[in-house]
Amino acid sequence: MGRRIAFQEERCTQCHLCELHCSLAFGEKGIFEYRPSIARIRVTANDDETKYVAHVCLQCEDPLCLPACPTGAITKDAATGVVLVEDALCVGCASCVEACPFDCIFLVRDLAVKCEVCDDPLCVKACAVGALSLVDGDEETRRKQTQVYGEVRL
Amino acid sequence: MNGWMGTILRVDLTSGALVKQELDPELAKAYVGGRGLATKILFDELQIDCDPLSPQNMLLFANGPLTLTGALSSGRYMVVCKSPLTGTICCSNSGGYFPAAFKSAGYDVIVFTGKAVKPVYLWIDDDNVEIRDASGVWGLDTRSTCSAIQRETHKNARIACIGPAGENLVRFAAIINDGERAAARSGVGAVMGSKLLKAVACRGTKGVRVADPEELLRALTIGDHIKKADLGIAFGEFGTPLFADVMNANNIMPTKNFQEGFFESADLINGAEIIDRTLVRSKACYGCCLNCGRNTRLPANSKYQGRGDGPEYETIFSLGSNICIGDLCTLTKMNYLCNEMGMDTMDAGTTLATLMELRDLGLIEEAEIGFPLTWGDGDNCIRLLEMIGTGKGFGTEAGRGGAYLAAKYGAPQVFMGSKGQGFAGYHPRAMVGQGLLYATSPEGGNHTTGNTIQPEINGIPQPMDPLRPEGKPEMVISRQNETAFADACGVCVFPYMLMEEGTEILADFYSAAVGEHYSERDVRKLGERIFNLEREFNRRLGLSRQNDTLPDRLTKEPHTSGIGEGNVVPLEEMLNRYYALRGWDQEGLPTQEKLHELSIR
Repeated sequence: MGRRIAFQEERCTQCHLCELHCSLAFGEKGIFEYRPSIARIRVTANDDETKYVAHVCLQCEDPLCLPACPTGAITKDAATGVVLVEDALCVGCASCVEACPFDCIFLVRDLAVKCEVCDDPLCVKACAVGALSLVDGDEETRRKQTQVYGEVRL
Repeated sequence: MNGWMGTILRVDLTSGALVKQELDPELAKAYVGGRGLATKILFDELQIDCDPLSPQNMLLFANGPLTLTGALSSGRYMVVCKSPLTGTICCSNSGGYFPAAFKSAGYDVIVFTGKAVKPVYLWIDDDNVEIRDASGVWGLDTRSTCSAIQRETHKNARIACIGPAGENLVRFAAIINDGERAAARSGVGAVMGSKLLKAVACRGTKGVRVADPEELLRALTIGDHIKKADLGIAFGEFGTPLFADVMNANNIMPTKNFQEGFFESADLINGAEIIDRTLVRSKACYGCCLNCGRNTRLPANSKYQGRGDGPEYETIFSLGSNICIGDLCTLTKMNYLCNEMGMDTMDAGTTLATLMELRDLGLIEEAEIGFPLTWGDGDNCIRLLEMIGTGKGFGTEAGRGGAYLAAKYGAPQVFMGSKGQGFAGYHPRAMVGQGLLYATSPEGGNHTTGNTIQPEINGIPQPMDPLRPEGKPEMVISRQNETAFADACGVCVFPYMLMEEGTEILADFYSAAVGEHYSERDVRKLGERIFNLEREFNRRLGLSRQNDTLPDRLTKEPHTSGIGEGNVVPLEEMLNRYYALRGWDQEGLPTQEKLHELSIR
């Protein structure tokens, strides 16, 4: 259980608006910048373009990124279920990036970053086709999401 | 700088020199970016009388200050050069994902000069720029080129490339990005081929800074409104193929080389038919909420196989109604073939239509082509398109385009275009403003310097009689100027075109991105400056009123059906008024006062 951004592949149009707007929320202080390379949600498609996929953290029950971290920078919030990265502890080794089988944690400016579920997520607002939603739980979507992330790598 | 990346990349293919030049902020403000800035650079630097396919021609890729921002449909880039199809200025544009990658690599404009000694491609990985050997991919189709270069560079690199048609200097060769999207018109792919430049691959991690993100976030609400309006719903569901129904219902779907405006089999090649037979799913360009793209696959029971994007409406007209092909699978196969070969579906269609009519008139022998070529003969059209792309047999001649063929075989009036470029899919005899727009476009008969569907057919912002000249010069000037500004910003015109207040909204986005206030009037003036600069470029080449023409079929032969039956385009009457309103002389040349007013020189 827990809060997370749910993604429904069949609705996606590969427009990248989620990625573009996510990046706006995480720029350096005082700078307003559209910068997809720092986004915490990333869009791709498979080779024959039959699947469009936005990779965004599933906030796993037993996240593989967590034990992979050698410094204890990754924790799972017991109350919300959200998996968090503590910047001050992160050494940018990318072990978590390697460990995540879903391509949902990224290295940005030598720090691990991932979706930590904003209160009012801009990615969800930006999604014009309802492929993204802020949910609590929703196991059915999670199962499908897990499957498609396995099939379509970033 | 807010909006701009601040860097022009200069690539001299002759010497291999790579130079990064700071973008002059005053120049950026005066010409915005994209079509404006690139045209200004070309205007200032090109040896104007050069052969378009010689090393002296320049090729410019340009995004705009709104590309890769939250502005509606911000994923577009422009290609500017002297066109080998028309011999004039040209600007071809495309969406997809390449434009975002190009801008995030940190450049506003790439200026290619000279000619490489052997085939090369440019690999841009943020600040690292390399000219690489392309001998391994020369000859490959566009999709294979993309995958091969991704393997050599980065799996997420975005690629714009030419196919065999560009290599073989087909005068209507396109530059295809992301395997599917095309900077199609005016033969920009042939210019790339003449420089032995196979591809540009980009990967970027930089960001686009903006002054006022809150204002740009308004795009999300506006986008939502567009998508919920009737036109927006239909556009999302059917994409541009929606226009097939609209045009045919209004008897303006060019048919049989513009002899008619109604195609009896239109409902076999329209948007609904695509959904029934070929649609895999709809698709959007980077940063666009409209998803008008069609990701398609030919069904197993079809005579032809393949997958790709399309057809768009312009292809439905050019390779469908205009050559009397009423089968979606045949038409789609031709679309795929053009994308793979890297050529414009529109002038490919115009060329086929020209040849078919020349055959009807007995002006070209079947033996010369090598096989029969008649209206609606899909197999032989496919055969000829392959020959054009690969430069085989009669394909070499056909690859010079419809205007060349019509003149060569003694019937220049058979070519349905202006300044050597084939018309788009809107029959001007029953929407005469579109005729004026085609005739006065600095690039010839294309649909990307503006179109008049909204005012003439849909009655937005107010209804006007499509058959009459009254009010048309004013409207056309307005469409041309606003389109020039949109092309300079690096956005797609579609969402703005769908709204009455589209240009005002675009002005607001531009202001928000760059951090200075521009009113709707201001941005229209910027568009006017760009348009006049293009005309001034053409004036230096000796073009004037005598080049602002339409074929007799549009001005003398009466329309055959619908409310426009019997109508023709009263071009000269509209031109007189258009020139006067433009502040040009009656030869169609911008006056010194106008140039001074617009600070052009």
